[in-house]
Amino acid sequence: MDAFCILFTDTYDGNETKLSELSGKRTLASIPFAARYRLIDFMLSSLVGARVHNIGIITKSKYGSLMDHLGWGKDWDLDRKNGGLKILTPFATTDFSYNDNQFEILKSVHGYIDSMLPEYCVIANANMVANIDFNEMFARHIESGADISVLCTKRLPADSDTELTLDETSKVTKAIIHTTSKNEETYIAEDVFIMEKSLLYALIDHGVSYGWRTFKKDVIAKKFAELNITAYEHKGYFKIIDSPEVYLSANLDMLNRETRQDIFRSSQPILTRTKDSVPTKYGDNARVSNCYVADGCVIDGEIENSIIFRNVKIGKGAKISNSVIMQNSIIEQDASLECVIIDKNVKITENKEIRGVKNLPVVVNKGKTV
Amino acid sequence: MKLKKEMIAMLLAGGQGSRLYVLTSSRAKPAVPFGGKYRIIDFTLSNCSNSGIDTVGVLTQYKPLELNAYIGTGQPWDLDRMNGGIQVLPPYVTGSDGQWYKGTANAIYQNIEFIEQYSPTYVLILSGDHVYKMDYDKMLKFHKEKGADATIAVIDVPIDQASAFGIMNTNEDLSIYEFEEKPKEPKSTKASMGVYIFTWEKLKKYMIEDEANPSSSNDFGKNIIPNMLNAGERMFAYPFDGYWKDVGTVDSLWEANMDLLNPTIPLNLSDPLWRIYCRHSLTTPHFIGESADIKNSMITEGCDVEAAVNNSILFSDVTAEEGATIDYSVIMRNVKIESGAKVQYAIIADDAIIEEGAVVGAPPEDYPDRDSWGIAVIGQGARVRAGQKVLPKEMLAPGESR
Repeated sequence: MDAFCILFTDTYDGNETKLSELSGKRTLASIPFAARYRLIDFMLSSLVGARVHNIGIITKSKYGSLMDHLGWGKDWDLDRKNGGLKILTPFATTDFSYNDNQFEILKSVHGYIDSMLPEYCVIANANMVANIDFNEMFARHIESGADISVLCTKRLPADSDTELTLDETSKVTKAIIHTTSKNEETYIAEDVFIMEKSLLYALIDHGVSYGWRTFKKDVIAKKFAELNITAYEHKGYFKIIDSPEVYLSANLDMLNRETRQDIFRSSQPILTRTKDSVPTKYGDNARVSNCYVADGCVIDGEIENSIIFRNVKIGKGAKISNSVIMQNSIIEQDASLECVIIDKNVKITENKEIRGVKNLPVVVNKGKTV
Repeated sequence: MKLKKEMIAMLLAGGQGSRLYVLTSSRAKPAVPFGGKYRIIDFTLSNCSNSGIDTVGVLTQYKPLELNAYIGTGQPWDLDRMNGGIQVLPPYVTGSDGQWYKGTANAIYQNIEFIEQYSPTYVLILSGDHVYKMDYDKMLKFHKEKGADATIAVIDVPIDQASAFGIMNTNEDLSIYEFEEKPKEPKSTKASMGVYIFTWEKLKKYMIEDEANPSSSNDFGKNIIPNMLNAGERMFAYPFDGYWKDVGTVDSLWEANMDLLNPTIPLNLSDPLWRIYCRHSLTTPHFIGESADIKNSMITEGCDVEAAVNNSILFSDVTAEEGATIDYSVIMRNVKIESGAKVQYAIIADDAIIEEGAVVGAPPEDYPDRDSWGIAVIGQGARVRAGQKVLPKEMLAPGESR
């Protein structure tokens, strides 16, 4: 696919605070997911799967762990002479203020965009779990002759989602921001766009002049009459991670075999940074059921319906259900967890009980000892 | 022009490993998988890297395809270097003729040019057949301290097993005065580990002389070392203390894998100070289903387990369906074990399929005549059809279907 991509690692719609416990010290795109990934892996892998090898990653703040994770892009086959990964850190000038809108940011990386040879570009957020067929989306874009293609999914709208009305050719004829209580499945615009580089330049200039904030709200939702916008429906699994509740339920969705067959399909695998951990060891007291587990763990407790990241230790008698335990954490003997999200390097000491519920999980911050 | 190195390593990886039978009928022994995600050669390569050795020549000969692809440019072991790094050295022709490697010493002899590029003072000779962790730099310090011409790493073996090894008889200062290959009445328990450090100029001299001798088997253990000893060269035994396992037989390969499940065995693969590196395959976390029952086992990434697994190691991407049982077995990459299959005391090599209700292997308790019992082995890509039985000690060749 002859396109370059600009990936936004944060959202610019003011909704980041809902996830602040998990994203507190890291950007949204680097939130760990499904036992061994980070959110950005899904977009990166989808792009690489369509042979998009020029990817610029817009960072805002707290991007240390993201840079650590990405390195030179070797793990996504992006450590190249021809193209590759480029991390675009924010400019700091004397009158610096965080550019909190996509257009000013794109203007600030004009140089990068200038250097891109491909004619087309993909503009996208990196906070969703999905395995997207960009080849297909791109083919439809060319076929339709549209100015912009927007990825859409058919689902129940959440507040402030952009609902689309499409004609029989999938052209967007109407777009509204969802605020009503009417609740039926409809086409929802997602933050993934394809357009020609020349249009991108025009939109950037316009956007900066008119104070636009995001592509979704200011271009798709407002300009569908002036621009020829077509929607490409992504039919597979798609989840935007924007709250601890959704974070937990999306992780638990990975326990479903069909979902895994969609997301982790062998024709377009999800790539991530690999580490040299030893295979996981299950002890004599281990009782594990319906769990997705990474390497390096030592498990001697009882776990069900949970996601266990790398190098986690679970002691004898510990009982864990419906939870996510991130890297290097230790759950000591006889501790008990239900609907808990445990960040990295946490220690839950013997006999401690932590109980959340599915729509209000307890989040234990990185490095904490309970 | 290459930079001079103090010591480079030459890794002998050309042997057939015939005592592994079907497990090496289509690949070289160092490429045989081990411990869930490793290959036997990972131990020697990781030891080199961790010991600060950045130049390794790997001598291949027998069925090297899988091994060569696995080694690649050496990046997983930090051996992808601007100066030095890893280099696969197959036998080659020179003009109109050339030779296969005739023996371990001949293999090194044919690669003198490779070694000379780095003008090393010392050369470390290794094999890719053993599972162990060792700091070769410490051995080099010993070699230098003793002013040795050759240093041979030795490990203490039980006296009743000593006659299976090359035994070094030493003085108090660890200088070797005698070397006995598989002695009927061993005088010491110091067994040669096949790890040698030579002062290069000395080794070169003996190799050239040995090559000119048509009746020599061109072997380190049989020729070079005895020759050096008889000529009065300074030879020392470097005592090694730690886990060391020759995984050259089906039984020892199985035992070494089972050792990983035994907490009293001091082979710690997760020691951050001495990591064992390997080339990773593209995979996902492993999934443990609702019907799975896992006890005292190792499960590697990519597995999908609904079966009962006890005291076993599942390598990556193994599928073990509901109703299947796996006990005391080594299941290599991408194997499929269908429902109701029963696998006990077996090694199942990569890509094999054990169909529904098949039975592979049996526990030793069922065989009072211990000679008729052994580990069952299913070769790469082989298939045991539904309901079929593979007895202990039986083997299926790669691709075979029964």
